[in-house]
Amino acid sequence: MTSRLTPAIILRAVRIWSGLFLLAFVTSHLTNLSFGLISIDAMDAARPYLSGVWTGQITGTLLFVSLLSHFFLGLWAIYVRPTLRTNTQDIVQLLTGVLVVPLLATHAIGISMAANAGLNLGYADTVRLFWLGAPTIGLLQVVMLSVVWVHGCAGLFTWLRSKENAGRLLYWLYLLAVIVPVVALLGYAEAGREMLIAGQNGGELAQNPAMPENVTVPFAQIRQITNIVIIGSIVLAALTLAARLVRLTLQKTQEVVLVRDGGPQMVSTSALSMLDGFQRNDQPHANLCAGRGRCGTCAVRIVKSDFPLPSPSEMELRTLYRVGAPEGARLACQLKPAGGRVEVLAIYPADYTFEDARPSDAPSATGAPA
Amino acid sequence: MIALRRATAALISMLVIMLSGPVSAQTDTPILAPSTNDIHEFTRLLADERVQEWLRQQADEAETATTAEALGVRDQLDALILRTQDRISALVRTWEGLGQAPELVQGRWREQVTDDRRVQSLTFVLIFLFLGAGLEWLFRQYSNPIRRRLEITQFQTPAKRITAAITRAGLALAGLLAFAVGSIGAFSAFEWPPILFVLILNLLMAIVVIRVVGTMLLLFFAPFVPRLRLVPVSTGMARLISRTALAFAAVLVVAVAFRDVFAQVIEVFKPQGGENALLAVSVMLAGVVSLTALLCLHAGFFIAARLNPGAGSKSARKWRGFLSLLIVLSLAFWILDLRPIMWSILCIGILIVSLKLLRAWVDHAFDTAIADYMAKLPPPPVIEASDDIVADAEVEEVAEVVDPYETYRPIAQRVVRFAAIISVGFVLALIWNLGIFESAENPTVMQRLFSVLLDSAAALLIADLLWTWARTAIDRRLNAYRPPTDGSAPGPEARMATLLPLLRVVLMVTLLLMVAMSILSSMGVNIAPILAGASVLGIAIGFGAQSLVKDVVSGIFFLIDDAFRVGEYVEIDQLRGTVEKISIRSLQIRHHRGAVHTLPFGELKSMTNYSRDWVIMKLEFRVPFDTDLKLVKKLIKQVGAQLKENPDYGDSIIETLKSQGVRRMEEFNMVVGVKFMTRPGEQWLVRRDAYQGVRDIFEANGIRMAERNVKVEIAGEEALTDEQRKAASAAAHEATTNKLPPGPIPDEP
Repeated sequence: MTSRLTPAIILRAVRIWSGLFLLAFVTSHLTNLSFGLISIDAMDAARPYLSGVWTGQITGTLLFVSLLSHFFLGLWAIYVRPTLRTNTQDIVQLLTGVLVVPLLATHAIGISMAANAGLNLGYADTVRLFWLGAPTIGLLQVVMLSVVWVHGCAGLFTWLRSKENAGRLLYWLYLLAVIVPVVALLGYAEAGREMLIAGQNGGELAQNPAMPENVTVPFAQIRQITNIVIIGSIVLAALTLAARLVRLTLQKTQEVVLVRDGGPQMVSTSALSMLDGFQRNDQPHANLCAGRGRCGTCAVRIVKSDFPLPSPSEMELRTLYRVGAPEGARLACQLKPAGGRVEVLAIYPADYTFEDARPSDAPSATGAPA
Repeated sequence: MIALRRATAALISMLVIMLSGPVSAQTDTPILAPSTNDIHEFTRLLADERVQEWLRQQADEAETATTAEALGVRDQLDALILRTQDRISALVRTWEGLGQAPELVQGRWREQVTDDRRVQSLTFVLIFLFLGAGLEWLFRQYSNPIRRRLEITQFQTPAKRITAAITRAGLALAGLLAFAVGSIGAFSAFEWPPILFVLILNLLMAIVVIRVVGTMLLLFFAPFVPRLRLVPVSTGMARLISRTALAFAAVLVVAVAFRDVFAQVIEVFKPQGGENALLAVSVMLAGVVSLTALLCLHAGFFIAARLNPGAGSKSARKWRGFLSLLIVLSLAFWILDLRPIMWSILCIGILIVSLKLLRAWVDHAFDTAIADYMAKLPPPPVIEASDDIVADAEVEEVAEVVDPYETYRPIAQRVVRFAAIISVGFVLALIWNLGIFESAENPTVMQRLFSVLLDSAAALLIADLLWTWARTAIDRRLNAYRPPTDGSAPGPEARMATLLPLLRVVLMVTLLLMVAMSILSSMGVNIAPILAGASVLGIAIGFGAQSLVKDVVSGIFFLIDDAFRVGEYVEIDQLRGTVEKISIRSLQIRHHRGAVHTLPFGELKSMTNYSRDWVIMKLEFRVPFDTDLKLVKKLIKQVGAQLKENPDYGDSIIETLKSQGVRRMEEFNMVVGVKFMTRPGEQWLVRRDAYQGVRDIFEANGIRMAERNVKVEIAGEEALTDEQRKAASAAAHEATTNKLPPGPIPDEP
């Protein structure tokens, strides 16, 4: 087996690691937010350790680069993917991914540019802004938090599910995936209530502190850049979708008839992978990594094909080798038959998970569900 | 046609939501126990004569008032008309003030719920929703393996399929519960101003209720997993129905929630003209809901017609018209504030539709169950040529297997219909607030009428259920009965052909009488005299027709004892013949020479049945003493084998002809006994051929039958004279002709 790094493999690695880095930041930031359950002061006290470390010189740059690369890789994935109507999780991931940047723009650009100008905004200031000054922005923060977290978790779990020994860990991570944002949101809500009560009683907390001397915050510039980023990212996403549409219209497709395990005939097209063809016909098929070519559970054995099938990519070969697939097996998620009738046998049952004992060296060829 | 289900489900959900509305609005304040002072004061007052007099007067007046109320259907109608008039004038006022109403409410609303406040509350709502959704997601992640297995497995039996569908819906509901607990629970942990409380709670409740409706639709229609679908529709139809129903449910729930919020706002702030504004909003929302219902209905029917081209467009149009009319009527009565009439119309309309749908559903359930059963049956065994008689009978039995569910189909249909009608009846009673569950001292006319109707309907439906079950069971047995072909013995089911029609008539009469009695009794007619009269009459008739009764009763027991069946050859007190007809009173047997005897069962003491199971026949042959008995045995065995191979009766021979050796020695010959065993009725033919065969084979092998001869021994040497010779032959002749030995009984028919 060669260890050649094809662009596809590099891109996949970059997407995963940038995503993980961003998720780590979000988790830490949310943990900071959950201190709001104690008080706003506690949030500020924990800030240097939980949020501050991420906005240093190196980490800040890394964060920015990760965000950019992850965003553009996402757009590329939208452009390339054969179909967008795969499973719920993918659709959720796509929509949230497109929404993240416009939602994030106000928060991230505002805070970072204010910091650059020398105005260090604490949690008391932000909470005051979000709950009293501009509640609409505050509402958007909640939306953003949900969207970012859902996107991050969707990616993380899709990645982990394709790992063979992540089984036990996943159950704990699921719990964490709910606890972290919920506690953060409750912290945010509690901080907001504290702020609202202060606002009603005319407390000190609700008063805007005087702007420090010799600091001028370029509010107009911030607003302008934010708008550019928001509109730009939306336009980019729209352009990607349009380009994808053009690509699909120009693409010449053939009808493909799939037959799995001697079952009913499934009509698909040559633009779709075999897995998409199964799913389009409501035929369940094992795919733990949601068609990303990582887990190898969608592997099929080719019985007969009218036309020669395209040869497997480096990534597919690696996965097949890793899972120890038998000779003549292909990944249904990567294989796009050129046309005609293709008969295959599923190697794993449709409800296969890694908890089920993986068949030893030669997985059962029938693979039909019991 | 099947698209109607959608409307049904949606309307039922509407019913549930609207009925639950007023119940939750009720609040009760605790009542404290009276103090000692109060009690003393009360007893003092009671002792006062003036007070006593006043109380007496009040009691008298109240009595007259109750009777007036009980009788005054006319007054009630008047009150109804008055109320409707009030409502119409309120509507007119609302219509006139419609222009400013929204403005007024909007102004008030804006005054109370500022922009900031709205956004803040929305933020809170989002947080709660996220919490609920997070919990539900967690639950789903943990229960996913089970769900996936349910969706993928192929279930063999309908019961397993239904269990799987219910489990799947149960999982979805449990997730929903997690969502509700998470969101509503977190919400109620905070303190809220009343308006926001109502607003947010209504919003969260609306989301939960809509999702519950969605889950129920998932249970019945399973739009993406055809295997778990409980309702027999195609995938396209399932998706169509669940989508339209969900859309309608969403509009309905949102409308109800909105109206509730609005009513609460009006109640809290009490603005000028708030009542009219509320009425306007309610009427508007009702209009929107009805319009949505109509839209969903027509769109559903339109798409359904495209999905199933050429499937009864005429009846579909009829049902569409019916449902549209139902919706429009409901709206009209709702606007006129005649809620009971609206609910009644809605209930009865839904009942009509659902009866039809339930019937189709039960039919389909039975069809699938029968198809499953048939698929599970082993293929019919191949009949082999060498099979003997017993195996043949078995093969015939296997070929005539009928599915075990068919008898229950009409019963299931009636049970379902019964349940539907009775439940709608109870719902109607609740709607009209008739209090049929309380035993009122002086029931109103409506109460009386309704309870009579309900009782009669219940009695009729139960009787119908019993009657259908009995009739199907009896008819099935009767249809399965094949009258015996000529010459073969009838089976044990032959007596059923006699008893079952009788049973059917008796059952029908009994059921009719019981239904009539219970209806009369529920109408308040005292049925005791009728019963007493009937029993007196019964006793009189019983005495008068004692022997007739005896005949009938003993006949029933003879039949139960299976003493004889139609077609059997019996002997009763010197009378013999084939049983030709069994009636309730008597038995007719036909003698083999054609005479028909009629015997009342009461006269029967004992009887002999010649047609049961098997018959042994013994024959005797007389052979001379010098016959070779071994040869005889062998020859008879040959004859037996020949008989057994006879195509006509060979199958009926149970034990073929065999020699029993010498049975006795007589004066001049040996008696060789032979016997054989056949099925009843076949023995005569076999005997005939046995005689013939034995005679022929004896003759061929030089065995003579012994003839009666007289040896005349003459003493002395001299020859006889002619006279002496004559006398000797005459004596010999006399000896041979007299005293025939007892032969077989001449009993052949």
